[in-house]
Amino acid sequence: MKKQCPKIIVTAVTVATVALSLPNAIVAQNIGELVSGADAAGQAGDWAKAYPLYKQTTELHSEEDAAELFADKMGYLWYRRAQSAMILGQLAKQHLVEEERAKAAGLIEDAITSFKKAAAIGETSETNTNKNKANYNLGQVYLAAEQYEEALKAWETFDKQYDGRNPTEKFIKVGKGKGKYILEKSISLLSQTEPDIELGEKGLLYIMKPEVKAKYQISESFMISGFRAYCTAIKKQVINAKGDRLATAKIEAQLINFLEKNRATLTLSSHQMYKFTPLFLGLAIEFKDIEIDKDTKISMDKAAFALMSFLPNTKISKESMESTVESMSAFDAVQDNLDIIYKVNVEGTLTQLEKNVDKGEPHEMSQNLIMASYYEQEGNSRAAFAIFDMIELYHSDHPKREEWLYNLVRTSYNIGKVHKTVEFGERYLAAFSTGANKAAVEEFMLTSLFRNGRYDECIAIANKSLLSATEGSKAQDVALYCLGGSYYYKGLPDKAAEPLAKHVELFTKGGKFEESAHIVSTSYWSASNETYLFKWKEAGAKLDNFLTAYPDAAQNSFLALAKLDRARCFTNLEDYKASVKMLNLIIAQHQDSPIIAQAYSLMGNNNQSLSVVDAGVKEYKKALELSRQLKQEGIEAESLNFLITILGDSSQPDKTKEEKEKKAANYNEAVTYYDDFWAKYSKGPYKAYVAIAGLDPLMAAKRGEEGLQNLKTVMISLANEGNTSDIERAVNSYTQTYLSIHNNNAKQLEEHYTNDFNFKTDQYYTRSLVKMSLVSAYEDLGSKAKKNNDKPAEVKWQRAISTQLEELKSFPLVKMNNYTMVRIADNIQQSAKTLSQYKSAEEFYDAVISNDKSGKDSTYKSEAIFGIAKVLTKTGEKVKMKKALTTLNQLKTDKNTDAKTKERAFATTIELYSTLENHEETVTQGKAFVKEYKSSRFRTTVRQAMANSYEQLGDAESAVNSSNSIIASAKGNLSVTGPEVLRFLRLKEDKFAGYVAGYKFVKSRKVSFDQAIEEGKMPNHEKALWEEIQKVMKSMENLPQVVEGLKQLEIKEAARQRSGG
Amino acid sequence: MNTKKSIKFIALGLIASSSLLAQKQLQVKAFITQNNDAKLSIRPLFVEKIKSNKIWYRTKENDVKITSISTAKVKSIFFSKPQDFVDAVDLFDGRRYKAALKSFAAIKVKYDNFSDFNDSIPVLAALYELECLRKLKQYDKFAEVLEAKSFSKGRYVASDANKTQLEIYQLWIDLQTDENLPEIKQQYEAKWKAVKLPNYQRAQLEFIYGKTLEAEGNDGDALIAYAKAMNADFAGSEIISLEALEASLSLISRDEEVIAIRKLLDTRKRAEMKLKVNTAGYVRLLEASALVRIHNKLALSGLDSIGKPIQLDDNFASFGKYTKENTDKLLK
Repeated sequence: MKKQCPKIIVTAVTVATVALSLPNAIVAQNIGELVSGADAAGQAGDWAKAYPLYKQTTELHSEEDAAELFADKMGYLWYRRAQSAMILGQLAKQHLVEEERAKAAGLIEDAITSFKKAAAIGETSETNTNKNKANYNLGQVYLAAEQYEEALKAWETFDKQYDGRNPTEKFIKVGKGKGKYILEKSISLLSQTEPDIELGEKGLLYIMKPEVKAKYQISESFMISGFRAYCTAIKKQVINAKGDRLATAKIEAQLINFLEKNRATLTLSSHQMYKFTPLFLGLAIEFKDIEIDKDTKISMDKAAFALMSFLPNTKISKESMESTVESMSAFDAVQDNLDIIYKVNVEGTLTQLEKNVDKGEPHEMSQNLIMASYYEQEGNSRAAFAIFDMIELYHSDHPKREEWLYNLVRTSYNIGKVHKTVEFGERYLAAFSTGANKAAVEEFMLTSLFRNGRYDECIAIANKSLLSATEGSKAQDVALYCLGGSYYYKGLPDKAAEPLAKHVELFTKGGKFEESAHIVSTSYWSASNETYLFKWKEAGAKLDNFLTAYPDAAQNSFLALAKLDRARCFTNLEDYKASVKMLNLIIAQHQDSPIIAQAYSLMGNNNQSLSVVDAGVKEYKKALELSRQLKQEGIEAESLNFLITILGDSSQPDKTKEEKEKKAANYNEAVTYYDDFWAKYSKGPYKAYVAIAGLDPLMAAKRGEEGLQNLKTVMISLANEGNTSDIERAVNSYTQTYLSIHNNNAKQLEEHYTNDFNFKTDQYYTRSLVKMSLVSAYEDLGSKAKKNNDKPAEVKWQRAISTQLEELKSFPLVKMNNYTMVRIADNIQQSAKTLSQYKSAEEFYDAVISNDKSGKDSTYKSEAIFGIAKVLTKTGEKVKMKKALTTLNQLKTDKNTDAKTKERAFATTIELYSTLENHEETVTQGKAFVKEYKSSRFRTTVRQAMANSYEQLGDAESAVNSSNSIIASAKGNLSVTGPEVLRFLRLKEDKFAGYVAGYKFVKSRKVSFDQAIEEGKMPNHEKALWEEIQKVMKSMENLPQVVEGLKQLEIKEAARQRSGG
Repeated sequence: MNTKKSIKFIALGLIASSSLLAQKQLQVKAFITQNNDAKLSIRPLFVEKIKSNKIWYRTKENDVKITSISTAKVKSIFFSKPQDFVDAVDLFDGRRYKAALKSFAAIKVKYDNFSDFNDSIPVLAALYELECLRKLKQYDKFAEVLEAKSFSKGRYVASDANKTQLEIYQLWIDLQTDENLPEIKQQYEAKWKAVKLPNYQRAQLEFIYGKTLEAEGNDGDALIAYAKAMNADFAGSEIISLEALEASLSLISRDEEVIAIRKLLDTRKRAEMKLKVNTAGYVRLLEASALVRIHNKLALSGLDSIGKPIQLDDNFASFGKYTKENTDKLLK
């Protein structure tokens, strides 16, 4: 340990090289001259000059001679030699040049020898006034030489010989020097091999009292030396306690108590304190980790921390030192209270501080890092995060930044501060693209984003990470897991499938690479994902595998969920019994699982599907009860929805009295659940279902208007949300219920929609649905009118329908569903007169087809195809027709196409072949059709096409046969029969037979047709056909075959009459 | 807190022997450098007042002649710290804030004649006075001191570094009224969040910020702010540390999830506890437990008179026992 006597040191700030050899110039033979020269130099503080002179005086004569010649005066000379050697020795010790520092030991040694001599001279006399003073100084030199026991011995002699007469000794013992003497003794007591802590501490505590410190003018730095000695002694004591916890704790408490008592004294001005920063920090680190022996270490954390509390703030120290230097200005040294401040010292400390800052090593950072590790050890990541965050704020230019940026990512992840994980992760990746912790940082970012449901960001990072991740690496493992999982939870099963399958393939147990920690998750998602793709069979198989591979609930948190999914697969495959079995398993094994309410709910679905209504209701009630217990609001809302739907089902039997009573009771219950639902979930995802399902029970409770009002609110909100899945049912239900309450007044409803809903102009989808529901209402009215033969009403409602459909024509195609578009197009076709009008229907059909292709809406596809075919038969565009034929043939042969659509596709194909004038194909396909469909509504049109093709192919007989059978089956429909009668008359080879058949046809219809013409009820094109037939018949009368035939007929008739028949 | 370290302290020096000056004009030893970089005197001068842009001094403490020099001609002055000021600072550093408050209030008045420069003795005394009031949490008395000295114009001038602290005192005053909280939060985020403030100021601002976050129900971030307040100045800002620790523990102790989990652990409900080990509530409980143990281990918030960490309220101290190890034992 470095000891120093600051009072002496500070008197010699400028230091010269110490001269050990005696310069010739000052060699003097006369001892008197030598002494006066030495004294003069000593008084001027030039000890380098004084020392060799004093040395010479003591070495001029042998000791015996000197004693003889100068007696006790030699005591003075030895004392002065010792004093100058001591001062030079201390200066040398601190010299910057090593060569000079090497001289210190010799000088101190000489000082010790010389002080001893000075003390020994005149032992029995009192004329050597320096005798006992030398004992005191001897102690000081021993202290400087770190020979503490010797120092204490010397002072013991000093104390023993002290008689209070010598003024210098008095100054040391009881005067102003007393404080320093006590401190010097205390340092030695504490620093000796066997420290005397009790006595040493007593001395220190006395000196450190502010008033004592002030009284004896003890400098702060000397005081700190005492404190350093105290800490060393304490540490020694801890080591001696050999890990005895109780003893160590006691010692620690003693140290802390000491620090607390002397906090004021130990807290120095900033510029001074900074100088001692390494000391306090060093002590703190020592106490944090004390080595008892090579195997045992002990921590005195509290003491370490208490020591750290003395460390000054770098920023403030710097400002303080700068302003001190500035205010000292021209002065090299100033007195500040009891201390002398040397500008050079302050500047030196300031330079050191700046160096530390430049190197990025302010002690605060070390303290911060130590504290962060404390918190983490104790299990508080949040506080560690807070500290790392501060380090980043204050030291972001430090070379070790990588370390705490990583720690920020890690700790923010631990406390679930996802945006911080991402923020610091991005900072890390930007600053350390090849950092040692890059992969870990990405992993934290990904899993954090993933766990917190920030899937879009997760997907972006995972995709990026996958670009550089090597096959089988941890980075790939995490990226695939997060990517697949993100898509899965985002509800994008199409996209989730691939990364999940890849993860399972690469990282499964016994797979290509080491099993992933996430394998259970990805295996489950991969299986469950199939259910979202409605691939129930595939999902079922994968789930079965999953349940076999990971049957242990302790390792598989998805176990109950997987079973629930499995049950769902069974339900969707309509294997309700298997589903019920699986659900019973869940109920038995996973009663504590959060999915238990869902299991009961699905059980209810199964029972409902099996038409076991009572059991269904019971299960839903159980689901409701559990969801309320578990505070699962989603399930509670769902269960209420199911209950309202099942209890409010209008198709419940109500014929018998019992049935009526039961239905009424169910409705009542449904209303109660409805009210529960509405109070809590009227804005939730089930609002539309419940608003609809509740209408019947509410109407029964005479609260129909309220139900409508609620549904209206829901519809407005669905329209605003852009919801396309529930709004259609909502609109239809609203329309139906409104009409049933308001006496089927569709006009009133139309006004109500217009005036009371205020759908925004751009809410085209909703508005189109409203219009279509009105169309449907008008159609019903039209049908009734037709039934009642109320032609004007029928026309009126037809006009109303057309108005709605006309208006819809201007709506953007993407904003309408397929049904609407097919209806618009069909309506166009019905009223079309020109080719371009027919063609305008095409874009609506096309939109339907393209919706089907994109998966947006796959309904009414075949209607659109037929519509297109119909347009083409009108427009005759051959290229398009061929395309249409391909589509129709596909439709015809597709196993997913229903029988009715197949039949229609078949018939339409034949019609198209006919239009394309492919008569062979028309006949071939026509024959096949007629054979397959014995009672099809398309038989007539098919036969018409066939008749035409036979005629074109020159097969008059077949054509005539076809026409004949059409005429026979379509009797009164002149549009159909007319052309066939004409064909028959035209092609029948036996003209007379043809004429007779024509005659019979005309005769049987003449009265009614003529009447229709008279009343103006026959359409013009039929009228033309009728006239044409009569004209042809007239022209045939002159044919020879007919004339002859008629003649023969008359003969036969005459003969029949003659024979009395 | 160690104010010698934290308040920017332009070294002030010793006044000459107080006994000599007891009966006469108050003097402060000063070392004055003139504009031409020459020392006004090699030895210290005995300044008696600074007024109307003039420094009045004697070359010896008992000199009959008093001289003046225009402040315009002075480049810098180094004042030796008067003993009563040093004593008061010792009281402060020894964390005897009540006694220090009294001393600084007296010094502020006594040295009123030495006000006309940056961070002069009375200005520093007033700043220390405010600091004592803060340590004693007597926020209601801030306004009086702040208003009495403008610290920015006239004779009382605080340096820029100390002006920041004056702004923070205003925040402490504002913090006492709930409706100010949103504005304080806004100010913190706009003005202080990213500034490299001295540690003791960082500690104060984080505590204040934590309060505003807590008020708006953002418990997670409030706990982070409190953790910063606790640790920004290590054991230097012991009062803030304790306040932030108690605020954290109080917040956690009111958390319903934490209350429920404590109950499960106290009544050793093994099965139910098993379901809670991955919950946010349990993590928070462990955080509280760690805070208490670190408090006991390191005396972050200072020590009492016998060198033991400040005793926490029983309800808070009892958090210490909820360690992860103890839970694991229960669940085994």
